[in-house]
Amino acid sequence: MSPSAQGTGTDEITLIEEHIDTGLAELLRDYRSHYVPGGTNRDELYDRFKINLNQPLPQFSHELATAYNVTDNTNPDRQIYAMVLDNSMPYRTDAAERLLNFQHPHLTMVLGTGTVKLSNLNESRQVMLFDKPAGKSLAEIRQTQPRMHEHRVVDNILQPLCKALLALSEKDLVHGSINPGTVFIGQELMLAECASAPCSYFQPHLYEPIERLMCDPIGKGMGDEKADVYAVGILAYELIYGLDRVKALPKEQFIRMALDIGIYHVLANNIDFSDAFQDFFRGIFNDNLNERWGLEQLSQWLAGKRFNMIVPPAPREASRSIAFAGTEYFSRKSLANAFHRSYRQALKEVKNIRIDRWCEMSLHRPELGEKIERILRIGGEASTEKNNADMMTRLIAILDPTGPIRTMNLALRPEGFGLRLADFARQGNPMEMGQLLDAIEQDIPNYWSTLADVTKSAELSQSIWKLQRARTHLKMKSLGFGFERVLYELNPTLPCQSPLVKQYHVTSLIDLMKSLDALANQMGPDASFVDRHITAFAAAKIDMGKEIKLNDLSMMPLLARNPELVALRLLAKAQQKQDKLVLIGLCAWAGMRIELMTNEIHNRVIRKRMKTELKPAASDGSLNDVVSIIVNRDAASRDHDGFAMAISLYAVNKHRVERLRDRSVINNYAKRFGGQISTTIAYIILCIMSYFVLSDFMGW
Amino acid sequence: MAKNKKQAISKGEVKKRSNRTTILLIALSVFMVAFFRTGFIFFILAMLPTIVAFYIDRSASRSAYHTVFACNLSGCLPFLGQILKNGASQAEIQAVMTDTLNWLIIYAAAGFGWLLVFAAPAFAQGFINMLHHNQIARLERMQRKIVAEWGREVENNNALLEEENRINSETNARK
Repeated sequence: MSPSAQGTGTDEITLIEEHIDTGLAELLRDYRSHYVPGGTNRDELYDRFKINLNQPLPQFSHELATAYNVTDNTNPDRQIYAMVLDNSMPYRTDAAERLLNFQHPHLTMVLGTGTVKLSNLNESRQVMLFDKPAGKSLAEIRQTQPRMHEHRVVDNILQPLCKALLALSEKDLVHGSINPGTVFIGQELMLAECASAPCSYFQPHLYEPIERLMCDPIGKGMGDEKADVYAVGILAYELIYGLDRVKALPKEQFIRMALDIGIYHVLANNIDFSDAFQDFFRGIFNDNLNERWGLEQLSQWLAGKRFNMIVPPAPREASRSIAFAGTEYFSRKSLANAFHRSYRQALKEVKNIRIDRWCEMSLHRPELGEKIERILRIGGEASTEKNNADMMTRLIAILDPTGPIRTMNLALRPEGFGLRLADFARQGNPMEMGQLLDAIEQDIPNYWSTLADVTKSAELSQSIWKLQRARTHLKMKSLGFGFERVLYELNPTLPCQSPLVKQYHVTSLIDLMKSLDALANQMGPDASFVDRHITAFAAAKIDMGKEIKLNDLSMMPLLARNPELVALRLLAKAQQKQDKLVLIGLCAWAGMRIELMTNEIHNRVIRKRMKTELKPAASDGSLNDVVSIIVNRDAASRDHDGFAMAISLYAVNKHRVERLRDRSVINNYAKRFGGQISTTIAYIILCIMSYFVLSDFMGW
Repeated sequence: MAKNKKQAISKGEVKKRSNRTTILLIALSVFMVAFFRTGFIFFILAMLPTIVAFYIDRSASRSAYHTVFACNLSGCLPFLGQILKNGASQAEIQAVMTDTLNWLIIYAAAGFGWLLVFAAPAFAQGFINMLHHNQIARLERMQRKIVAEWGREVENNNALLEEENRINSETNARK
């Protein structure tokens, strides 16, 4: 027997709410949602295109998508393939949607896009259907026919490519992957699809202009038409003159040469271009982005206009070189690239090599020198590694504002932050992810954009704005914020990465809510709602700006800070954003989780009332009603105050019982009381006796 | 210091009261000698149990002394009345004093007093036990009701403090 039981005899007490059956388990067991997570299409899209999972097409597959043969039920002879995309990476929804059923003689047609449940993977994936490009790719053709005549290049390659790019431009799209592997020559030239992978992700480095060439493949961001035209220019150069010489160079060396002498001079290499192509190459291989040819100049040139272009100037800026790591540098871009490549050494030497003085004396840019001097003050021997990294990133950005944002291991444009983050989340690389998140926190993209002397695209401006918002989201650590929130904010097309729903390819809030509702009877009640991906995904979709604070439960800090309750409140908010969305399964699951949380409520009467209210609320399908049962200021306050009072009363009563049982106290009382009784009786006897004696004496 | 002062006051009061009792006893003795003459000796002898009780009972209430005194006096009174009725004559006093039964009655009355002194507390204890038992039952009912409504946590006096510590440790762990 416990000491307390000995004292009070409360051992066999049945607590008020024990054995309460909420009925939620039955409700959840009997509930069947009409919604099928991941869609009803099984290996088939639009009930028309059958994906033959036993017929993979390695020639169209890549790291982020697998290609399969497709049978069109209405036209079995049509050559179609499906790209089954990876659920961990965002894809180009805009390109797939805008090119859906768009017919163009030189563009691969997108026949369909949607979520399909794949029997071989046993999960749902985003699938895109394309017509198979007829003919051979230029890469294959070049194996047998290494060179082409200029006229053939113009007529058979440049003209159709220009038309294809103009068509894409009308749709406000860029291709981002023009190279010999994606250009097919059949009866007509056909440009392969560009929607199944992030823009330029698989583009070989030689086909990228210098500012994108220096980026990590995943960090290039969305390109522009000038990047596509540049790729067309390189393709033409390759077909006419061959790229074997530069292909033999390592990427780093090619970049170094391009920065030192300029792309045009690297490629021209004493080649005597024809008059027509001289303009073409001088216009396209210009290192100055503002002067580089775009689609308009390309179409004019193809239409016969001659531009009399001058040779692009070599990028040598300084009258005197600056030495770093044993090499002399004459341009800021080369120096910035060297700093990025020899990052650790640059950190050690950057203060000693007097860049500010070099800018002032050799570049004749005193304002730049002042700016650099200010930046150099951020870092130093006493500074933290984070400060030094910040200093280096900013310094590199000042030296080469047209290049990418460069940290120790990363080189990316602001538009590429989202993809890079998704890639890190997919692969798990905490160190480099830390560098990326630090750059966001320190507002580096905004700083970079203020330095960049090129016209900012809408895409870039939007990315900068999103990254600035991401800083606030990163600072907040509660559910719905943090790195996961930034991931979904920067990648709006990324499916929810929660292990609970990832296999169902959830890309919208309503799908998430309905999927959770449909999965409730498999998940509940054991699975917790504390899932940073689900909450961050929902928070991003409802654009939640403030952390959820359960102020009504301020008296009960454990409940107020319960992350599962915060997650449920967030999901309740998300449900309220959807009109008439009834989620009985999700509510029953949530109710069962809340039932467990009621253990934090001390008062069994309040608990019992809460438990009995759960099922009716869950049956209505409103998560907010279910959550409000426990997030209740009145109940919390009554419970808190009442508990304190109950403890005091119990202690007082316990003390009184102990005192009433104390033998010494009883003996003392008995002695005193007994003495009083005996005295009283004795005096009564005395009084009676006195009366009799007196009456006898007096003769009454 | 305050305690010493209080002790000094109570000692002073006891001394004053003792003096008063002595004066009262002397006055009563003078009065009784005047009335009873040799009968006073009878009275003193008859009241011996009271005198013994007076010196034995050191309790604050002096209930044993009062009880024995009242009973002893009750046993004495009829014989004192008899002596006074006959004018406190020597013969009457002698007759009363020589009768053994009288002494038996007188000391039996005093003995009854002592019986009361010893029996009353035992009776009182039984009565108090009964009262306490009822109170304990009522309090335990209340305790059970509290536990049923608020759980076993209330059994611990430090429950609130412990809950606060639990919250703090969980918060720290989360941090």
